[in-house]
Amino acid sequence: MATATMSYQTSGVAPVGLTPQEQKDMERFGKFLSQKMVQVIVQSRLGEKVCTPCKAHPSPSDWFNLGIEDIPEVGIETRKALKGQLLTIGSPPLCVEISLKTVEGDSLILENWCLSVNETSEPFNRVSYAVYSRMSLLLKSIISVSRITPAYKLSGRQGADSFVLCYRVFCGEPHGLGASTKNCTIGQVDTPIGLYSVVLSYRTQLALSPKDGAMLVKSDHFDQHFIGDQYSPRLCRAAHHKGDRGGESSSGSEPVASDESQDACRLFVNSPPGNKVAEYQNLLQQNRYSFDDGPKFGAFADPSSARRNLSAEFVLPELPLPTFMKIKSLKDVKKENEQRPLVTGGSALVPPKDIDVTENANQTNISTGPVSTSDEFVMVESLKTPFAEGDSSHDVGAFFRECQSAPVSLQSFNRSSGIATHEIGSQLEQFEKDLEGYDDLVQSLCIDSDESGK
Amino acid sequence: MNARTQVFEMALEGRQVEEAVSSLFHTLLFHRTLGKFHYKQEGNYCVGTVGYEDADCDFVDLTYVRCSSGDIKKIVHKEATAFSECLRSQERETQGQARSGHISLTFYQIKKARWPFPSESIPWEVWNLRMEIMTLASEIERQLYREKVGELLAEKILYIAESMNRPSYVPKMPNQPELDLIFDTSFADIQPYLFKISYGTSPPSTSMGTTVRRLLKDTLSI
Repeated sequence: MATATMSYQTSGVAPVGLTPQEQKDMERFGKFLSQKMVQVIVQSRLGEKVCTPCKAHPSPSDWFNLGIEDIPEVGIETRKALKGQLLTIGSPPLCVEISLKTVEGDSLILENWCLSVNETSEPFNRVSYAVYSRMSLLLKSIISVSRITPAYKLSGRQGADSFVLCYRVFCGEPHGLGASTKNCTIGQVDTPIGLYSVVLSYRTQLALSPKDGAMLVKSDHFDQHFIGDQYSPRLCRAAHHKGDRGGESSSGSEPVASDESQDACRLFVNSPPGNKVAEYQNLLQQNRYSFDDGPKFGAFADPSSARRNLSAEFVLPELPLPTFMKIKSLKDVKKENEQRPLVTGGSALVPPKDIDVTENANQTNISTGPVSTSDEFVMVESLKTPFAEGDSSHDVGAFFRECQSAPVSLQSFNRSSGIATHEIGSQLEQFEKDLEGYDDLVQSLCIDSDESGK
Repeated sequence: MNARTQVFEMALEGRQVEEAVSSLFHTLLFHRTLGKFHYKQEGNYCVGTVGYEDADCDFVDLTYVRCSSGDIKKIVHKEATAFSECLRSQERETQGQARSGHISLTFYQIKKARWPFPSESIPWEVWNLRMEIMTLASEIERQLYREKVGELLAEKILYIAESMNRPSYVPKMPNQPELDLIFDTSFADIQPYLFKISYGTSPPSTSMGTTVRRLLKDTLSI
């Protein structure tokens, strides 16, 4: 069983008949149900396929006998939203809000997942294992249902140039989702410390239409003083900043904005942490996108790999294409030169994989799989690629100009034209003299064909 | 004992049958599977971890969750494919005429009887899928129906989740000697409740045909 420890304040109200150990167990179950619920919901919106292995022997973090791999950032957000408190009867529900944000700055709340605790009907249900397995079952249901809502389908399509999905964890009443909403109670678990219920509300109409009212406002629509809606993600940020300045703390009834990174632009857990999140938020606020801003990352996209790829391979230099090719070829030559000391030195710091050693005319080359330089890139190595040179004498236009007229180096141009005319005239005279011979030949051929026809 | 019985009725294209059956049965089995029990001594055991994975359907607009155990995937795939083949071959034999069949997932427990009587299987939960094969004329219809079936299965999965979380009879946790009477202990990494899958075919009933026609009419009149 999991042994993770966190300092949570207890509700302080011990249900009648529970021993301190039972009370502690129930609270731990409730605490980890909250944690794992947020984890599975957020992970299902990453736009990636989840696959966790079955394990015969559980690891300490495997609560509820389920292979849920925790994302630390999500855990931190959940704890911040709960503020170290446990969900108790009558306390505001723990909500996970999934919203969509377009690159234009429009946003739309797609769904709310709420975990609430109500009065229990079975205060004497003291069998810990039964509660534990019921919570496990509830988590399985959350995992299954999280794949069938429209937000799941959208999560796979998000991208930096279209929209991103964001999440927010808070304690409080969830936002309304408009008219086209479906509500369902996924499940309830009765425990001695309360009836845990998970309710899902999701939007069935995803079209961004004017009927959706508030969700279509531009990010700069409201004046600063009008940011009075305490439930607006932007408001959370504004209120938080205000609190920072004035030393105020938010009241318990309002949604808890745990830190700056859980703003309206709450990026998902694998978004770039720290200043990259802030960069993205600023861009959203400015509602301005240009190629100068660099690549934008979806909330669920893996930013590290994306940025690495983009910066290294896909950023085009501001150079004409021929020069670009030249640079590349020179780079390969440089790479080749860099590899040589590896051979002559007789040892390498890191032995390359799949080393292929060939000896040729007292020269040894080492090629390391895909970064092999010589054989596979003949075109690059030659450095004589047509039209690849940067100067004007090697461009395509010069080539065509050269080919438009016959080359002056032909031998026939060196002969005088009078000689050629004389030769042709004498040849014609000779043909005329032989004309009778040609006629005889044709007649004989005709006779032969007539005879063979008979 | 009266087993809880749930019935789902669906009209599908032949190629959708296997995925529809798999999505529902895997969802059910995911809920009805526990981690593998490892007994240290009588009354003291540790429970393994159930892993899960997303599975995308090719012919239905749906992603569902299943246990990541290879053995259970094989069993469901084998039965669902056999049922699908059975329906489709019947469809071919009858030259496209609609045919229907049913496939059931039954959870049961074993009750030992006194010698010389054999032990008895007592079902406690039965999930029945009645399916009818239908033929669509055009690719546009197929695309529309692909989404429609996805929505239909999503509703069923939600129903399953809600149903699983209602207080209802589930065999109580046995002692070690009786573990095999409640759970299928043949899996190396997971421990589902004892279950069996059975299927059969039957000619379409009038009511089913009428339902399908109405469903199709509603779907394609959009």
